[in-house]
Amino acid sequence: MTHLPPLGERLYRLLLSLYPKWFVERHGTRMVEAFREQRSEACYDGAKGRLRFGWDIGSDLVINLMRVRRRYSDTADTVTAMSNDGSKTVEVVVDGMIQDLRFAFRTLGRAPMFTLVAVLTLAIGIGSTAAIFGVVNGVLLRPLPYGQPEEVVTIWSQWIGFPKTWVSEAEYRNYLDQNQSLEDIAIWYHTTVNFTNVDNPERVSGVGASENLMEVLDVPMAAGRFFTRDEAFRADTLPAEVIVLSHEGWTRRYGRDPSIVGSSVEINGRLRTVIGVTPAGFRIPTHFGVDAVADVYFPYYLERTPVSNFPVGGGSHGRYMAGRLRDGLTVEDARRDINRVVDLRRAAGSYPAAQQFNALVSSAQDDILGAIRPALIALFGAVGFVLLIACANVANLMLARSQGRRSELAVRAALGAGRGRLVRQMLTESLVLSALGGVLGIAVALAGMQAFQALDPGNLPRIGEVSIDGTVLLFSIAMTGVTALLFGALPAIKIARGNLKPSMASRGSAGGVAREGWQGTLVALEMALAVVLVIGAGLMVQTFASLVSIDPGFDGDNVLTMAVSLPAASYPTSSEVNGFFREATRRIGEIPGVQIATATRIIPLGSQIGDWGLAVEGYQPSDGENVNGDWQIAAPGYFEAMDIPVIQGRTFNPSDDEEGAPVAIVNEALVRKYFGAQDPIGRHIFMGGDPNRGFTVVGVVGDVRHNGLTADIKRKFYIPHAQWEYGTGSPRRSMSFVVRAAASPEQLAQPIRSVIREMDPSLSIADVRTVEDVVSAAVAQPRFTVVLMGAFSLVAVLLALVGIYGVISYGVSQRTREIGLRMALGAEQDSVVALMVKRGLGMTMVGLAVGLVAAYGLTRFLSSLLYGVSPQDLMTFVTVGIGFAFVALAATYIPSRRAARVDPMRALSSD
Amino acid sequence: MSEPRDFLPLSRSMLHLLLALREGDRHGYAVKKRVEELSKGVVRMGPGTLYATIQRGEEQKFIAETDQRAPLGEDQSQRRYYSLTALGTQVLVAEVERIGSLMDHARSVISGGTGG
Repeated sequence: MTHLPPLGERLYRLLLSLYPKWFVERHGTRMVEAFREQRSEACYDGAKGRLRFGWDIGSDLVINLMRVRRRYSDTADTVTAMSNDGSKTVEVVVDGMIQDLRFAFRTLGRAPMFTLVAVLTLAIGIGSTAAIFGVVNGVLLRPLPYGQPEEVVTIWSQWIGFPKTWVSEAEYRNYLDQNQSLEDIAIWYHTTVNFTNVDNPERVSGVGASENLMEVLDVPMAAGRFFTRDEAFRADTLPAEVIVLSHEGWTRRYGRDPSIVGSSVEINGRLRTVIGVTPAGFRIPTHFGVDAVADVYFPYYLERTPVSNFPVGGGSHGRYMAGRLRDGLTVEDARRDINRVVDLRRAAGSYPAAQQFNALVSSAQDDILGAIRPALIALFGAVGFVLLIACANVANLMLARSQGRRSELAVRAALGAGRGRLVRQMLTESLVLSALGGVLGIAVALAGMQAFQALDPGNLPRIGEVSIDGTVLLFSIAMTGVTALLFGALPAIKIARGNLKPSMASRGSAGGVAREGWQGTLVALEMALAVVLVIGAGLMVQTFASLVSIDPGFDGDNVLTMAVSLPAASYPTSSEVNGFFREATRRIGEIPGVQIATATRIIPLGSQIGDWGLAVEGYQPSDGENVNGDWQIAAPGYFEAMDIPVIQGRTFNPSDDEEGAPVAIVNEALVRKYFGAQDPIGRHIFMGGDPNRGFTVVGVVGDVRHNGLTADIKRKFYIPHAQWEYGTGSPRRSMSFVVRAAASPEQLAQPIRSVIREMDPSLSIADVRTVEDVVSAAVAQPRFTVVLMGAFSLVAVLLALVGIYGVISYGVSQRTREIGLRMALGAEQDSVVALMVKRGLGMTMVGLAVGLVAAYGLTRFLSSLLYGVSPQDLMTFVTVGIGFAFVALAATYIPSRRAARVDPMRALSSD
Repeated sequence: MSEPRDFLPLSRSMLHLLLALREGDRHGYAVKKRVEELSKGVVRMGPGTLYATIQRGEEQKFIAETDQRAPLGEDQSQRRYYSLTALGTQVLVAEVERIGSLMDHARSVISGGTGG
């Protein structure tokens, strides 16, 4: 970032790309050099100098761009100027345009204040629109990095309490066998693995994927190849011998060393051969919008025939699926087809009615971007409003100016300039203004996008790919043209319609109704747009406020976490695993400043948690009902460290170990469902429904929001880490340390790392962060929307205020004579002010009313973004309405007061 | 073979470019500085005007790139030097003559006061 040339130069380079390619190749570097040298000239010092520099460079660029483009109009490589007769007429027209352009630059240069205000206003409008368009383009419009991405569908499961969740292996094999709409289906799961070579141990994200993944997604490998079915098959029984690196992993760990393919790397304590590298930008559909893109792919083998014994409820869910549509079929066809397969299963009794199981089939595009789309579209709409307000403001400025220039125009008309010519001149001026606004706007957009990325929109898919590219540039240019028409057309139409002769005679007299009509309409429009924006922002602010006021069920202040995963090779048995975590938490607990050191499976709000089948003592499930709870693992001290309230009984203590009686703690939701009014303490739950895996409930704790602040609270049970093997047959090797500090937990990261490294230098540590950060990341996206919406509505209000103020001031200055006359005839100052305010308020109130009505109709498009507030929230509408009324009053009152200070004598004697 | 006259009149920037090169070979930015000096700051050439004119001058064979490079020790490897061609000189002379006779005519009209 630091070695980037200054913004102005980057912008200049960007704009140079509008010249023919060969021209840039021949002169580009020298033009940039000349740009740089000119920039350093003494006459461009200071803020004013910078403006002049921008002006000089801008006009030089635009005029010569026209000239060069015209001269070499069949752009390609023909360097020879065209001289055949057919092009002569074109040349004449273009020459006229160049003349118009020069003239426009000259007249605008003579009114620097007007030009400055207009250009800045447009730059804000065009710049913010271009920035958001850049994001929309990069995130929503650009196709996914797959071949024929519209043919890729994802399949999820859905049942009561789980709106969108994993699929199971049995379901995969069933779909594969029974479906008639998909060419093929790939399946994968997420995991984490450790690079275990000691000089650079690291825990990274990995993916186990069926060998057909790259075919289903239709992505060619960057190097080497993907797995064969045979390799996958062998990996099913033994640890995988081969792996594929992602482009990210290849870049980060191996500096894109091409010789890596074919060589061996050590992962999870075993050497494996790298057989291929995925292309840059490739991600599996579940890895968009997550920080941890896979570094490594493992082969994952499944039979392609249906399971002989389809488990009730589908079995263990923890996999992801994507399929490719058969030729000519739609996503809707696939949805119907897959759910037909599900219906068959249901008819066979595999899915109990109470479960309400469904397959969720959607296009990969919708699946990945569906969540962010409403927010981005809302922002795009908001920013479009800002642009419209900016246009209205500039149109008003132009109107006022053309009014002031009526005599000039009349003179030119008298000298023989045709009406068409004058209209063209006005349009050229607006074009020049918007071109300058556009150029500056691109600078605003460049800065805006940097800010955008810095703002961390919270798992916004593909935010890294966002940039100002050709499409965005083209969009900005098109927008500039449209903008010019929007605000240039009005004054031009007025000239075309107007009778220019009388204006030579009458200067400064009352302008008449027509002008106020136009300007009033524009002000009302601005007002209405600003009202809609502010109401939208108000609703987002309330949403954000309700989100942050949700009690997650724990207190993460001053808590630091980090994840480790013990390789099975060096920690083969439960006692080694448990011994490590016991010793590590003991040693961490001795670090000065640490209050509690403990561990858990997954930090709440950190990532999703799934469920485990249970049998609950004393609970009789209804026919086909799934009894289960989300499974969480905790070491002693966990509830204390996270400040999760104990409702009943006790928490885990060090004696709840391998030797101790198996115990469990459950949350209130589980008690409500399975124990009802009975006392849960002392009752038993059985993991997997296995009578040999029973745990005595010793405590009840408060509900914790785990899968998201607004997600449903689910039934949950906690098992002591040391007893996990008793419940499942294998120890839990991946855990997150949870460390409560007296203060500033970040400072503990280093000492804790040292402790872990002392115990086992080959262990890699991941996800070092405070729980506060985890919670804050959970509201990152709404925060992002609220910040941007707030910023846009602030800009909108400011622009609208400037507009109102400007029109009233202008009205006052135009009516000096009228006011003077009234005052000479004895009107009180107050009544003159009241008169002006009344006129001003008339148009703003119309705008306010229109805005409120429009907002009422438009806010429902925000409803998917809102939480804890209705789209038509009365309080918001009333508050914004009253607020705007006051603001509009102030904006009209202040300039109106000037009217009262008019000296009647001077007003009347002025011509 | 085209006559020098066929190219007249020259655009203002072309005239200044040729004038600046008449004094000796120069690179692009030096042309710009010299033009501003000669015209006492009245004629300003932005990068766009400068290189569009140079491009045009090369195409019309008024000017040509020379082999000359920046002196050693200066990091100006990118600079290109241009010199006036024979045709360029002829065109420049013709243009100056044209302007000269135009001026003569104009002066005589103003001082002589010949009525229509």
